[in-house]
Amino acid sequence: MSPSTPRQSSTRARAWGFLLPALLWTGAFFLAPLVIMALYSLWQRVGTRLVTEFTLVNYHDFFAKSFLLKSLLNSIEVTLIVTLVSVLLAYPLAWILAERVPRRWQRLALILAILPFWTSYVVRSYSWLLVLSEGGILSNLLLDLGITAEPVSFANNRGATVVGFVHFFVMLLTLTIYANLVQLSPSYRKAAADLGAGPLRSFWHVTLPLTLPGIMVGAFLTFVLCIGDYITPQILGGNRELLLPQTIMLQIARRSDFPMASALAMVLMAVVSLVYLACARWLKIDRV
Amino acid sequence: MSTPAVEFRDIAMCFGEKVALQGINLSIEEGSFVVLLGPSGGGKTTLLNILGGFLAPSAGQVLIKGADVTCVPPAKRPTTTVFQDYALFPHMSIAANVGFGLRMRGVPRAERAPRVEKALDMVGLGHTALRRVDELSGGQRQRIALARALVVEPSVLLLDEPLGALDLKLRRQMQEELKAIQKRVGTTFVHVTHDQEEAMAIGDVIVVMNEGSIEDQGTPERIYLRPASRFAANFMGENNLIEGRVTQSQAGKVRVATALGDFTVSGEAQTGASIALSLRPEHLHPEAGDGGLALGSAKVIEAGFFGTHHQCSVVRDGYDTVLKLRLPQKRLVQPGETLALHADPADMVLLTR
Amino acid sequence: MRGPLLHLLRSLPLWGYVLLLYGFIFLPVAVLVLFSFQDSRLPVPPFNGPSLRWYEAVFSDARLLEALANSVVVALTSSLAAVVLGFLAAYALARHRLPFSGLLQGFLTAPLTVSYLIIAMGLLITFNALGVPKSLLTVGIGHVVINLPLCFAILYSQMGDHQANIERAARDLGAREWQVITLVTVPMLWPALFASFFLSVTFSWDEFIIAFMVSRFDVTLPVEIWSMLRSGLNPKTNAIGSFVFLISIATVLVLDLVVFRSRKA
Repeated sequence: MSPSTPRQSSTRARAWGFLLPALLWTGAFFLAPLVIMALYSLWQRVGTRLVTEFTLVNYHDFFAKSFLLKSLLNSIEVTLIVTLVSVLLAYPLAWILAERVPRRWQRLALILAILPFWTSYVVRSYSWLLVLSEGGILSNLLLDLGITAEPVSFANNRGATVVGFVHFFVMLLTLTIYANLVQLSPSYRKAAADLGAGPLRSFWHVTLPLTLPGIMVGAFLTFVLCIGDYITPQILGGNRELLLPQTIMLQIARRSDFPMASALAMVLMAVVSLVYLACARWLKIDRV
Repeated sequence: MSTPAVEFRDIAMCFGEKVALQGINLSIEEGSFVVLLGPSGGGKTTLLNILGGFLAPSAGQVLIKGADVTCVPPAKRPTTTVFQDYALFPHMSIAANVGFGLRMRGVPRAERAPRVEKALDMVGLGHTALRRVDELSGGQRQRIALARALVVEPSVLLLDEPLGALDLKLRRQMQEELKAIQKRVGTTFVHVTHDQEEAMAIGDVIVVMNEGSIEDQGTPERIYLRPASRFAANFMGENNLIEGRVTQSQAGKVRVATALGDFTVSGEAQTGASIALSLRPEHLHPEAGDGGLALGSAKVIEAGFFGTHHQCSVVRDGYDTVLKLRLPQKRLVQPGETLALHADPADMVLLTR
Repeated sequence: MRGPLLHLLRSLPLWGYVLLLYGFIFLPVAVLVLFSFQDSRLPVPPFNGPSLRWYEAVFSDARLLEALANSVVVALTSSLAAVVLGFLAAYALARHRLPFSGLLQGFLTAPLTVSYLIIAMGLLITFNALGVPKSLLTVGIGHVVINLPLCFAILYSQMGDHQANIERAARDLGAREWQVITLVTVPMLWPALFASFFLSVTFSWDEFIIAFMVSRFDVTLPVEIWSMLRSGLNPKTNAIGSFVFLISIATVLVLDLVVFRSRKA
């Protein structure tokens, strides 16, 4: 490699100078905390002290204590259900918006479909309490219709958590699937029709496979956001069943057990990484 | 006369206020290679889309082999299309692409494979069945699109400016291949292009379209040598248009007075009518020959070499419009030179519109 | 032809589905806004009202208003920092051939792949270990962590070759580096800069878990609303929620009309 000229090396130096703040910030406030958490996961809290000997007892406890392991399983179950239901509900909506709504109205229709995004996430989950609680909208409706005799609560269970999640992710997925559908070249559909495929077969053989990568990206995003969410299960899920983020928060809030919480966080990251590897095929991001 | 492969009866197409097609009446013979030629926006692609079923005409009927298909959707028409961007399905292999139409028609897998292979062989890509679309070049994809459209044995094959994305050499090659394939399979081809050289090279019949109407239709030779309108004359290649007036008209011969002189040409026109004479540059000669009349001397103002010939722009005294003529390859010419113009009135075409 | 009627019948299930789903999407928000005008103590049917008493309660709640102001300050400052850091990093990587460029890019965008919960925990534990007190500053730091990758990614993707050529032309005409950046690069990137700033503000404004974990006395709005939830269903929560919702929509509308329309014109 030829030695760089003084001017080249000064521009190089300047480039590094520009890059450094962002690198330092990410290193100090993202990477370092992760490393520290990994370390903590290998330490232990005994009484009120932090014992800094390396031990795997946290991880051992995770698999041994059924309620900890159960919270992970609950999280995975709920997240899978939410992802599946959200994709199944969102795809037809996105399809209708992209294909059947007149072009002029599409932008407005899309904005309306994602309008509730603009409520704060906490407030949005709270709003479902208004609907699902005992004495809430749904309860009153059933009372008025004479279907029930007393107020009924639909909140504080897994179903409410799922509803709260699905509400959010249907909006997100509608947006991503719609974006995917509109950039699909109309020639493909024309060609399929030209070769004898009716609307149903054209969708099944051409449109669906071509939008599958987009769906997978959206589904992955849904999975990651859902499994790491503390707010919705905490507001809507009740006390009987806890999801992993809630158990993590418990370790911190009630017991100040940072090591255990860190271990659980590592488990969460591991699960997300595994899912990423499984979906890696569809998640190649191209540079514009 | 046998039933034409395609018939358009009084086709009109309007997009809101805009009239894209009007009064289109056209008959396409079975087994012919028809080219719809015209500038962008002239209506040729609209007409093709109506034939393919992607557009329903505002008025008129479309018949394919005598059957009225005006309201029939593309999936049920006996036509297939080679699209401008090929539209090959990127998520399927080549074999799956080519076999798609057969699959839609319920042809079982065992029968599909050999037919797909045969179609690929015909376009010279027999070994690519298992490859994927993104592994092929533009020219190869074009052939796959052709194979895909032909394998289902359509009544009419539609081509929507399929050669536009290819470079010159590849385009010429594909033109020859298209013509050869069409002759071999005998299917009626309807090809849309804006390139008049392409149209003449491959078409049996050319239909010149402009602003939603048919300007002229006929064999390439006829349209080039004896165009029916000013537009057709100008569109088909370099052209000299000499304005004039009819002074005498009898029995298929017309006497025309122009600023370049008076000529007797064959044709029909009213005495006193304003007409134009079309004279191709290759029919304007720099020296006397058989049957040529002297038109006066002219000065060369520009000359370009095109490999096979020189093209010159000349100005004749007393005639405002610049004239174009061609000189042989080995005849060197300089701007400023004076040439004695000659032309045979038999080469002049009378244009009444 | 056959028919507008047939066409309508066939599309009925489609529009039925659309209506059903829109209904599902809007239900909670409609309830939220409606019962913010509730006159009685519970934001559930029957609806007595309309009344503005809960909005009055919101605007006379000093702590709530303080939280609102805190959210604004944290959002604006952290987003500004994120955009500046992201711009400098994107400029460095897009315009110079640095070794390990791919690795550096991956590193800078890595936080996008990690749950906010984990980032929040990491910061909590680290600040705790270092003895750094929890405050709005720590919240702001956390928000820069989550927004920096976004700003970097957006700005980097917009600094393609086309832009590079224009900058080269400026240099060719004699501009010095800082002039190129301030007079050419930044103005050209204005839409991307604005978009990344706007997105960062949006994410920071609404962000809960980091703010919850690394703040103590001074909190942001989502955290304050969270503590209001302890008192159960309360129309005051409806009021602040609706207020935030309507302000957000209004902001987006204004931006769309003022910024984006004027660009289109």
